[in-house]
Amino acid sequence: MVAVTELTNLAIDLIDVRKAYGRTIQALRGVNIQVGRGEVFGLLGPNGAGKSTLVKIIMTVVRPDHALGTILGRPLGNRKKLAVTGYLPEALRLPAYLTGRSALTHYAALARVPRAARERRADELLERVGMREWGQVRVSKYSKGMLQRLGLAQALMNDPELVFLDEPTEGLDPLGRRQIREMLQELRRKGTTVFLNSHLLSEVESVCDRVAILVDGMVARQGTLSELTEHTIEYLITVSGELEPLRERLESCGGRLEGHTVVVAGHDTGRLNQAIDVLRSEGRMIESVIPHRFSLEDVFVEVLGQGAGAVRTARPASAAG
Amino acid sequence: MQIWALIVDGFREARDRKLFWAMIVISVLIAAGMACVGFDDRGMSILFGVWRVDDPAFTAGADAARAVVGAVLTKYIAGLYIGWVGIIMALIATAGAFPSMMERGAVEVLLAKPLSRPKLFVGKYLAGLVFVAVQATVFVVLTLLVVGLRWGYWFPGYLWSIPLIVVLFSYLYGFSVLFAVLTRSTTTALLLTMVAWIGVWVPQTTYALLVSFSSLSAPVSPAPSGSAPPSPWQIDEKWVRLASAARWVVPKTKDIPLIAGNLIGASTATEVVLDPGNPDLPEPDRRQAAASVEVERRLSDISIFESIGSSLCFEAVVVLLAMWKFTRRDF
Repeated sequence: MVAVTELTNLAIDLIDVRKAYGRTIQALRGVNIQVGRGEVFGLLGPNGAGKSTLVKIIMTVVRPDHALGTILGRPLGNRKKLAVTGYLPEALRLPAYLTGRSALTHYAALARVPRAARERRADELLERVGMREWGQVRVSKYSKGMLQRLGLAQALMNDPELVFLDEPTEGLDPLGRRQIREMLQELRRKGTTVFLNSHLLSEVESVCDRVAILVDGMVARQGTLSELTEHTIEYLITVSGELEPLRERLESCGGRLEGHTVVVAGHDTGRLNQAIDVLRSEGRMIESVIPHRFSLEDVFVEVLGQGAGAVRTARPASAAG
Repeated sequence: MQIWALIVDGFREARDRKLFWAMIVISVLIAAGMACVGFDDRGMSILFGVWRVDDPAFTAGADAARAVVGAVLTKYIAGLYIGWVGIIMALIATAGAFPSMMERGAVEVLLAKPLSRPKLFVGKYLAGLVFVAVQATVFVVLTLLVVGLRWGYWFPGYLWSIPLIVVLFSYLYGFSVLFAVLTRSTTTALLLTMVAWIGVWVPQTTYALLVSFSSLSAPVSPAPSGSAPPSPWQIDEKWVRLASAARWVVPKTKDIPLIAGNLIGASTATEVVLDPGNPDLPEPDRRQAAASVEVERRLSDISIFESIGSSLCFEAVVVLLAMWKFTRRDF
């Protein structure tokens, strides 16, 4: 058991989290995740990877089969810490018989927010999520995007230290997504720790400090965006002229042919220079040499491919070809 | 604060349903219908004098009129509407509370609050009882005012019907909540609750029938030379005791209207209709009427503490089972 101390600077410290549904579905198979205080942390994974299950375990909605760790310095499952935690679940349903404002004050009451603060926070957050004019309208009249905004406001009513957002931009238009991203940036500036589940890699890339990729109930990769992508660099050498006669020589120095492009993978610039020497010695004109770092999507696809058992180098989705 | 917030929210949810307002309207209509009847120095008027029953027995203040009023309150108001119709409507109105709370996307938000699951369960459960208490108060107060102001008869004991309605409802609401937690379906929970209601009704009715047969099958006229002819309907007392034991275990839903009648302090309907003291009745009929009245008195002779106490014990087991299941469940 990890020693519990309020002095830890980890907002989330999960060790060996396991959860099975029945005998056949292993949702989580020993997940280890650490999130620092004040970080915006992104959790990625394909459908069924266990992302929502992990968040539900942290929020005590689901009981794990096994889990060690702390949330804001307290053991996993401590309900008192939920008073300073916010949660926006996936597929949020709000009481249709309430107005937006009364829904916010109701959930704030359950989160033990004092009455005077509830009214003030409701007004502030309705304004912040762009729903001020809709505060007195019943939730049954809201669109999906409005529900999502109100759900986000609900998650922030208790001014949390740690907030979990499961697909927060689902159903939102591009303007709404931008507003959410701005809110996340604002939360980061305030020092709030944000744990973000999202399918949208671009969204995670733009706001997250650190990311974990969950595949089949296990963390396949975890780290900052730089750490995840630094090993995945390759050089794209665009050449005019026929390359097929040079295939064997280029492949011997680590290159591969893709049309009029020679792709040299890895950090090793020695191989890059060897490939260039081969091309120049045969009189080929080099039109460009472009270093390409994998995007998060490229890493994600690569990890999924490895998770499926196939070992291959993922083709950069954004490569110029 | 949290429990109160849950109760308020549960009441808002129930109030948003059309059935809430339908029940209020029905209460008002029943009270209005009762108000159409009046008693004066000539007799009884119906629909504000459109029809009349001019009879000294039904003049204002007459004992017969008071007995009729009391019988209406106990038999039809307490027995029929409160005991059956009102309870069914209340069950329908509240059956969806737990399933809707446990819907995906809704329950996560609640469970993620610093609120224990038992507290969440209790708050939601109490909300259902508060809803029924409000409906019962509206109905009882309205009808009491009509009986008092329009008919001139005051039965303060009738106010006990309010908590008794809530108690009766709670017997069945426990089943509703248990089935809702197990199935997460409003319709299924409601249907199973009706089955459970029949299940607790059977031992009670069996006991009542056995008591009736036991009492009514006693010889009507004394036989010559002291030997009583055997009755084909004579019930062995051991069966009555067995039925009583089975009845003791289950929630005694049939007792509540009888307890209400006792607390109202009115004559039983049988007494009013059969009138065993009527000298114009032939002797065998008078004895039979007396036996029927005796059966009704025996069934109405209920220890409130024992009846409600034992029923609430059963209900506590059901509700605790539902709470345990809710607490242990993954969502």
